[in-house]
Amino acid sequence: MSEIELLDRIKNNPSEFSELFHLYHKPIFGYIFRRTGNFDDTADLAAETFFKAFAHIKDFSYRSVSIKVWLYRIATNEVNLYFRHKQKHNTLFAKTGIENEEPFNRYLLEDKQELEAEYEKHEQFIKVLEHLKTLPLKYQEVISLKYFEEKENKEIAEILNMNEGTLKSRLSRGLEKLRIKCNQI
Amino acid sequence: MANFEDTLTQMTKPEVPELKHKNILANAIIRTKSKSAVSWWWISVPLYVICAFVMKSLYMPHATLASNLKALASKDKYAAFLFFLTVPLVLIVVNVFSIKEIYFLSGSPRTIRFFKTISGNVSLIVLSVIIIIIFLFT
Repeated sequence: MSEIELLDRIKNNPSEFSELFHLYHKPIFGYIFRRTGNFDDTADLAAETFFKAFAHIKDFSYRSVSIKVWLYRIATNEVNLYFRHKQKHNTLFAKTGIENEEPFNRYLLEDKQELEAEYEKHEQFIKVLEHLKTLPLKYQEVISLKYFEEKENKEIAEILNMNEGTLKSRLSRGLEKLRIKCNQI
Repeated sequence: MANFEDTLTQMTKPEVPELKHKNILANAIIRTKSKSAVSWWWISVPLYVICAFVMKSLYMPHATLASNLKALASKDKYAAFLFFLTVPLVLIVVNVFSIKEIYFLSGSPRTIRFFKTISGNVSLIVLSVIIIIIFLFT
């Protein structure tokens, strides 16, 4: 089924949103996790991303961007807000009340243990991420999408709503800054 | 530089496994009702003020909307300044940001549906502009 068909189905029946959720939750969660390196914050931000997408999908027009690009845009915005304010907001888990539901808590804890164990295996990535987090957000987002998510320049430009020329120069400057930081290890 | 790029490309990155909590989360998101970006209470307050003045102008002998506004402005300068200039200006700024956010979250659409969604914000901006014009030019 194409994204357009899925979008039509969701607009007719909002409960079909779960299909979109299952399709994109893993890549979006992974993207946020590889930017923050923190499970709890990632779980919050990913949930918030999908909640905002669900709240605005009725207005979403496929002509502008694809659903995937749109979700990455919202996620990027959420991560940038998180880095700017670095404060816990009223999380979706609290809003929905699921944080008090026993199976949810247990699953969340199991996911956390599994992902944190996976994270610890990638020492080089952890070091690079720590340095990347010290760079301005405009460099963090391009480097993360290019080298952690392995996206093409065209798609990154769409996600960040910029032209490819600007993206290339930003990538080049960001890489140089990151290289200098990493060489100082 | 090329070496550093290769390092970034080739280094292993953490992969996300199948997450167990996501099924419950998906249902919770669908169950949760989103709050409207603009509460209609925000519109009702300035509307109430305008209606009060219009009603007074209509039903009080020898009173006009302009004379009523002038009376208020001369009687209580600070209240008039607050209600007819500060509050509408704040409302305009809040709603412009709100439209910007809705536009971004909706994937930058240019559809009738989108314009329907922001109609509340637009009404509030128009209303605020009208209040400011009435205040400044009467």
